[in-house]
Amino acid sequence: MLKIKLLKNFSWPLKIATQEIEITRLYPEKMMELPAAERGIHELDATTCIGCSSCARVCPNNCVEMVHYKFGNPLKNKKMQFPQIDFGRCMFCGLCVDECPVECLKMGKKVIMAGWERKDIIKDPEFLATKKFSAKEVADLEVEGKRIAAEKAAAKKAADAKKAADAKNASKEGAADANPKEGGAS
Amino acid sequence: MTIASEVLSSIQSAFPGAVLDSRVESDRRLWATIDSNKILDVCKHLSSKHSFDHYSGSAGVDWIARKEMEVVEIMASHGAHQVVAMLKIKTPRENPSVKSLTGLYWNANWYEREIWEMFGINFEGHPEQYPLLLSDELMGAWPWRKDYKGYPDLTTGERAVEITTPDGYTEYRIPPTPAEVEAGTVVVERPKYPSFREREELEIKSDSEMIMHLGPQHAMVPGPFLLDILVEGERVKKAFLDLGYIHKGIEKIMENRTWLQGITYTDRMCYVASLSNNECYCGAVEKILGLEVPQRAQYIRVILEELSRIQSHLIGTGEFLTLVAGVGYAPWQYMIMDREKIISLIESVTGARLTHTFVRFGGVRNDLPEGFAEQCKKVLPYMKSRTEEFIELFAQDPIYSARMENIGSITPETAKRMGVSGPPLRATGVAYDMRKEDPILLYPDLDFKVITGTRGDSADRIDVRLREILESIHIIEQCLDRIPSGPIKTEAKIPKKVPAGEAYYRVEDPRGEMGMYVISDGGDKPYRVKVRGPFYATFQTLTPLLEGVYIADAVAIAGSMDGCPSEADR
Repeated sequence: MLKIKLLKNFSWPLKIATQEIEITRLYPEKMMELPAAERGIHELDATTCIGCSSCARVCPNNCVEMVHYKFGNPLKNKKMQFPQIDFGRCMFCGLCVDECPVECLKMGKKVIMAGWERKDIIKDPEFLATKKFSAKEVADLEVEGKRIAAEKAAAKKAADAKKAADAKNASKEGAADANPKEGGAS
Repeated sequence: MTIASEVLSSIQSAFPGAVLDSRVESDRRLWATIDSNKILDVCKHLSSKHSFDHYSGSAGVDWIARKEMEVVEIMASHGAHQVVAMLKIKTPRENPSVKSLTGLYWNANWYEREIWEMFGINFEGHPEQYPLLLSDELMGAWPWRKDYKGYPDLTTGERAVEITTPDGYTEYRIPPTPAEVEAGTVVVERPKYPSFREREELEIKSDSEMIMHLGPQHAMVPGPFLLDILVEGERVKKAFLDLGYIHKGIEKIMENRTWLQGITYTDRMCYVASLSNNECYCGAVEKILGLEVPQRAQYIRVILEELSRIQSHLIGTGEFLTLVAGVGYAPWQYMIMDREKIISLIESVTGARLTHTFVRFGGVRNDLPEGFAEQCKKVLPYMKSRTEEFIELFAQDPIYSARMENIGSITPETAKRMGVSGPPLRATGVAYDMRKEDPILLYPDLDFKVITGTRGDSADRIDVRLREILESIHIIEQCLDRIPSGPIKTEAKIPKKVPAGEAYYRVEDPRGEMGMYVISDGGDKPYRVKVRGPFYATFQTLTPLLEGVYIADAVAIAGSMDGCPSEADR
């Protein structure tokens, strides 16, 4: 009985000796493998963010602030407001990610965020953005935005003019058509 | 088996006019407003006739609009039936006072003390109304009342005045404004109580006795709490406990956060068991909302909660072994290594290692990743063989058994009377498990045993925990075999504002019975969240348990309770 137990006890070191087991990880050089679901530092897709500030509203610690950032999408985000996160207070709960209506905010596998001063760990959209436009693209998009706005304004003007004309016609023709149809130009 | 409506009719027939208002929510929940003069008689009747022998706790509620305060006594039974009676007693807001239940239930002591210091409700006949959780300077401010204005913000210095003391330290004092003094909203003179040290020193009767401090900073304690023992030679004559070193006021914080944001705070009560805390809060809110959880989400919740139970038991046991230094650090290292595997499994689903914020109202946050079942099937058999090894190791170690066996034994009757739950109660032989008593999710469909011990000593508590790991593995294996595909969140839209209502929901935390009493007044924030934590109840029993033991055993007994002062302080 005792011999069996002794053999059993020796089987463990023998088993371990044949395997290659990682005992100590050389940490800064070699990170541990993180799963796909890891909730690390946020990743912002500035090209799709609409600046709705849902993330700022849902944050339990008020660590998300909406700040101005110039390399976003001016077509979708009129005020150019993007989230800036204070990682000194962030507890990585992920509520902001769940709340995002366009799924532009995600949490990545980056986890190192140490800084020398407290203001170093307040990360602006420039740091968070994984996708952003260049200055030229932004300028192009702004021109595009102006064009669309001008088109819309023209369309509205035309619609208004048509409506006015319709109303004029309607009043001329008497009360034949009591409810004139509204703007078909849009 | 007794059901809630029978209990109600029994009270009504025994005490006509005592029940002012009642609601039978289901067979297992009874809500009744009892005349405050008759509460003692009603409780006596319930405990003698209907075996309501488990006083599960009490909650204070401040109904500022109705100008009254409420004390809710939560009563249950140790296995005789499954009814939980929520008895409410009302008292006016001016000079609130109710009768104390400490004469009937020994463990009512701490619950009533907490209500007294937070709400200022006086308990007539309470033996020791001294501050327990709050510091002396906050006494008399009654911070959990709804009209409490809050502690001044020390970072901005608003209202606080900086004073340099003669010793060179900087102190912040809060002078009330003259208008506040006139209106009487600020307590200018705080009531004075003898301090903890003064009360302690009164107990020293002879020169041969002295007081030893174990904590708040001590290698033995799992978190900061104060345990002082009055010793004569090697024997402990009396023990004193003080809490509140990490009192976070989570229940009050949750009143100021939205329903969804509240989930993040439940994590931080006890990070070792954060998934059960999530489950408890979300379950209570789901009950108010009347939400159905999809099948797949239920399976995911059960799998993760059982995994979390395994890692909690491993760290609890390992930590305990480091305390009793004779047994050594080696098992602790093994257990932490094994726990790492479980933590990685949980992390692959939730994305966080400890504070998961994973459970949502009517579902869960993420689906299981691909290959999760295969990973589990690799890790679980390994865990099983390791746990069996640990059990064998403890069973045959003579030093361990000499130090642990018949140390800190509790009889089943005492354990029931003291209100302990979880492994310390089951070690005495009482099969009391929330998963069987108050079944939630799909626990009724699963096949598992409630592990019990025989002696109720320190060794048994550890043994019960280790054997529970095996049972949890068995549960997870069943779940993995049966898990269906489907949605992980309910289809129903979850409103920002939860309709008015109240619910009490219980889960089996790794440390015992955990309950949350949630009240909604129809707003976007909870009106009141009361957490009935398992360790707050178990903590109370330390003082009588330590009387008459050796100093060396005091550590073994306190450690075998698997403490989490963070959750006791909340």
